[in-house]
This record gives sequence, C-alpha cells and structure tokens, in this order.
Amino acid sequence: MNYTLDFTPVIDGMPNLLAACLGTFVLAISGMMLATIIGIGGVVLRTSKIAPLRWLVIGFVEIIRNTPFLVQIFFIYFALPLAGLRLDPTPTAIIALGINGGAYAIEILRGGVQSISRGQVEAGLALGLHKAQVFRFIVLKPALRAVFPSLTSQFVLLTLTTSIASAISAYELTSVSQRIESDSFRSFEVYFTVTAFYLVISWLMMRLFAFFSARYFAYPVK
Amino acid sequence: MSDISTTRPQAEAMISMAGVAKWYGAFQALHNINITVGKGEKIVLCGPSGSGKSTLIRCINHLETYQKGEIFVGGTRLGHEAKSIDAVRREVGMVFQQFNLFPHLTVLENCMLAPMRALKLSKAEAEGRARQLLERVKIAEQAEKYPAQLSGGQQQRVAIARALCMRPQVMLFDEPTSALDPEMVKEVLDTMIDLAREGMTMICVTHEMGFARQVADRVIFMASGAIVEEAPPAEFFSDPKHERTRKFLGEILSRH
Amino acid sequence: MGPDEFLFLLIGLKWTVALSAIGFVCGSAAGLGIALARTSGIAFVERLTAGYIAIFQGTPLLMQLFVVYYGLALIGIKIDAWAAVSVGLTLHASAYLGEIWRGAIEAVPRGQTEASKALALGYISRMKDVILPQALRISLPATIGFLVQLIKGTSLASIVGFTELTRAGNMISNQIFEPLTVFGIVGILYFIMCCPLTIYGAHLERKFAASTR
Repeated sequence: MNYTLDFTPVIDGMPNLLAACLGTFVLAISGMMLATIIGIGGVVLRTSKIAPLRWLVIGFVEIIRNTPFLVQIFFIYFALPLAGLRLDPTPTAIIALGINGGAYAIEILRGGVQSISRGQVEAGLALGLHKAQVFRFIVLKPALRAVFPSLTSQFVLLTLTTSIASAISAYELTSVSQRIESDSFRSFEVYFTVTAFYLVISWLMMRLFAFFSARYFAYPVK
Repeated sequence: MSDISTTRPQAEAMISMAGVAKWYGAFQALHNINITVGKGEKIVLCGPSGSGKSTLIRCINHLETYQKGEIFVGGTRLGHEAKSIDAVRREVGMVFQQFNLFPHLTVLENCMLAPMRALKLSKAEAEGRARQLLERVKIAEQAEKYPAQLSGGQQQRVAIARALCMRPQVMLFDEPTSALDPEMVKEVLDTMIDLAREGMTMICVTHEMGFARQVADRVIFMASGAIVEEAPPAEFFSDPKHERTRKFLGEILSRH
Repeated sequence: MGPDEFLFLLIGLKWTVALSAIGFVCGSAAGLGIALARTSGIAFVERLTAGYIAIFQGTPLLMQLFVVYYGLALIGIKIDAWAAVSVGLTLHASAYLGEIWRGAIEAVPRGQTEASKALALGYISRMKDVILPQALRISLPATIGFLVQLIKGTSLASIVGFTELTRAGNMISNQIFEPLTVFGIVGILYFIMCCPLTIYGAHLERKFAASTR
C-alpha cells in the first residue's frame, strides 16, 4: 500500500496524448460519416420493393448488432487484404466503425422515416417529384430530426468504441496510451488520465451534435 | 345558379374517366366510373364518408392505382408507368385535407421545391413564381415563415399556392376545409372561388354546399363507390332524383 | 480447424457466459441501488449518482476495465484477471442499468406514488410492491438490449488478458492461420447467444407499444 502515484510519464507524454485525441476525433468523425451514408443507403434498401434487398439489409443489421465490435474489426482486418484491399490499420478501423455504426444507424433512421406521415410523401408525389426526390428533399430532414437524440447517443457510443480500434493498432488515444503505459509501467496514472480525456471527448461530441441540431433543425414544429 | 361560368365549357375534355374500377383486395372501392370534365369546368364531388370520392380524385394523379378503365388528363393517357404518371402529375395540382406542407421548409421554399426539382426552373424563376402566387392567395408577407407558425387557414392557402406554382391545368381539392376551424373556412373558400373565376379546371371533394351552389358547373353525388347522380347545382339541390341523394342532402343541409 | 480447436473455443464461450452472468447479476443489484439513489429526491445523492452514470456512459468500457484492473492492484488488492474484469463489468453494468431503471421508475405515472402514499405505504413497500414491478415491465426491452451489449462487451476482457471466447479465437487464429474461419465461427457463437435476446427484446417492445396504444 505504499505506492505513490507518479504522473511524470503522463506529463511527458502529453503532446503525444493530445495528438492522439485528434486521432480519436478523426476516427470517430470519419466513422460517423461512413455510418451515416450506410445508414441512409440501408434505409432506402430496407424499404425497397425488392424483397431480397430488404432481407440482405435485415441480415446485415442483425449480424452486426449481435456480434462484438472487437470480433468485427478482427474479421475486417483479415478480410480486407483477401478482398485485395491493403489498408493501414487506421483506414481499416474507419471502415469497421462505419459498418458497425451504419447497422445501428439503419435501424434508427428507419424509425425516423416511419414517423413521417404518408401525407408528406403524397404531397411530394402530387407535385410531380420522383420517389428519390421525395426521400431526399421531403422525408430525410424531418426523419433525421425525429431520431436525432437516438442518433446522437449512438454516435457518442461510436466515439467510445474507437478505443477498441487499438486492438489493430489504429492511431488513436487508447493505442498511444498503451505505448506510454508499456514504456513507463505507470498503468493506473496513464489510464486514469486517458479516461478523463475520453470523458471530455464524449462531452465535446455531444456539444457538437447539439450545436449541429440547433443549426440544422431550427424550424418550428407543432 | 352557376354565376361564374357564364358560357358552358367547351367540348374539349380536360379529364375523362371511362369505366374506372378499383378494388382493395376483395372490396370494390370504385364501380364503373365515367366522368368527363371540360376545360374550365368546376365539379363538386360529394357523398357520405366512405363513398369513394377521395379515392376517385386520387386516381386522377395516380396516388391510388386502379385496376380497370382508362383515365385521360389533358390528352395524356394515365398509364401505370412512371413516364405518364410524371406527365400527368405536372399538370394536376392537389390540395389535401391535412395541408401536408413540408414542416422543414419555409412557405417560400415549400412553393419553390417542386418547380425547381420537377420542372428544373432556376432558383430565381421559381422564387418569382412563388412570390407572385403567394401574393395571389394574399399571404405574401408570410413567405419567410415556417408552416407551424401559420394558422390552418393560412397553411391551406399556402398549399393552394404551392400547387399553383406548377402551373397546373387542373386542380384537385380533397376536402380542403374539413380540417379547418370554422372561422378559417371562409378564407380558403374565397381563395378557391377566386381561382374558379380565373377559369381553372377544378374538381373539389367538399361538403360546402354553399360553395357548390356558387361555383360548381355540376355536382356529382357518389355512394358506395359509384356515381349516383350528376346535375347542375340548381337542379341538384332543388330537384334531386335519387332517394339516397335526398337523404344525404337532408342530412348535410340540416347540419349547416 | 479441427474439433480440438473448436472445443477450445467452447471453453472460451463458457467463460464469456460466466462473465456476462456475473456482470449482469451483480450489475443489476448495484444498478438497482443506483436507480433508487438517482430517484431518491435527495439532491446531493441524485447529483452524485448522475455523475457516476455520466462517467461510465462517457468513457470507453475498455478504459474502465484498465482503470479497475490497475486501480485494484494499486490499492493492494491482488486479484485474478477474471475477478478484475468482473468488477469492471459490474460497475459498468450498474451505471447503464441504473440509468435505464431510473427512466423506467420516472415513467411510472405520478398518480401511482400518490395513491400509495394515500394508502399510507412506506417507501420500501411503495417501491417494492407498487413502483418497481411496473418499472421493471417498462424497462424490460431496454434491459435486455443492455444485456446484449454486455455480452458483446465481455469480449474486451480479452484485451486485458483474460481467455474468454474472443481471446480463445485470437489464440487459435495465431496457431492455425485461418483468421476468417476462426473469427467467423467466434462471431457465429456470439450471434447465437445474442440474437434470441435481441428478438425477444424487440418482441416485448412491440407488445408493450401495442398495449399502451
């Protein structure tokens, strides 16, 4: 019990840790963008008239939701080179994060699309817009607004999930902190500090989403 | 008496429905519908709820499909393929009971969306058109507001302007005043009367019999998915031929 | 991959189930305390538990496991990796379940509390006999959803060095150099555990939505 805390290695490693925070941000934001694209594309396919496409999306969503991210990222890490894609760990991690977040985004966005009344779609069609235009210009924004709180918490979760990308040595906060830890053996000090960093990062993410929401969804509803 | 269309509409048919029938599964919603609407003619469609009148006008812009018969709009045959549906929808404006304004767009943007996306007008052209039509429905000063900031009557007038921005040849009204508070009904009806005066071809599903007397060239009464009676308003109201029409008129007129 | 390797995965699976069970059972007990504290009406206690929940929901589970693992060693408690992971998962689960159940307790109509008070029920009886049974029903879909999250979360124990299913997969994969086969099978095993729960949770949610309509 006569251990004395020593934060010197943490302070020495601070520039590296702060740079790694940026790495985490890059990973998280890129992952979210990919997840959003997969989410929107998935919803379109999920509501398609062609049944096999719908089943494909349902299967994808259930496989991703019912297996751990760690297993997914290992699988993708080994699968991509076999598919002829030789990528560094960081882009690989972005793809894995995007796929994982995308599956959740599909389910969340589907709820949003279902919340839009049929009358909105009919009004768009009656005005001569095509189905794709109705989705893009009429349905999408109100649907996003309806589920934005769920989307926010899912994407904060995605931000925290970036730490698992350390398992394939992607450049982000956890892997950098593991390096400092193994050099200094000041495990608790390092991880305690980094945990605090994550708390700040997820708080910042939430502020970012709130800011975006206040800007983008600034229209009144009854 | 119809005090608006002093001359009888020309023989040139704007809309014609011939032998149109529709089923929801085993339930037949429309039976052998035959209607011809001339250019500039105003039709009021009435009947008890569930009589198929909304279904009928929703067939005209293919929001509902039909299984039998033919529909022509402005000379275009409305088939079930995208090309003819598009062509028809560009010529036919529709106003809904629930307004269906887009909540995330301003009044102006609501009016500009379809002209820009479906007609490929430039932003400036679309805006010019939108402002002009908002002026016409006397709501120009609300152009920058969002739908939720307007009263029901104002929203419905915007919905009329929005449909007019496509410069349609025909306007369909699906119970446009049914969702309104009583004090707002008049402003919407007045807008519709103005539109009728300007010569628009109109089909209105409505229970506003005052509007029918004042504007309609013909009143069509439907029951159980079929047309029961069709007559100019004076004759329709004073001398209904069918028992069901008399019963319906008795109910609806005693309510007002 | 031969039967020996598969057997090794199944041993790992056993530990995954054990970790999940420990985390869920102990986490539920602690989570109930958190939920009650969070709705206690005592401002200080409510704020304290809100902070506790915010910390666990705002940091990665992996970091939580690291901090608990090394933090316990620091204060002189020498325990095995599996025990440290169990403690970490328990704390993690207590925060998430505490938050889920807080929401459920608050979703029970206010009149239920008032009626109980009018019947002179004390706090314990009010909670045990009136509020919690209703809250539990409300929270069941979300609780099952979290259980799935927890089962998947146990895979992170592998990073701390505990041999559960994912780490067993890692070891086999390094031995036989068939990572896709191995992680594919590992994924299927997780799927077999989680999917029935997900389906059951969705079923309950639909049932609940239908009954409140």
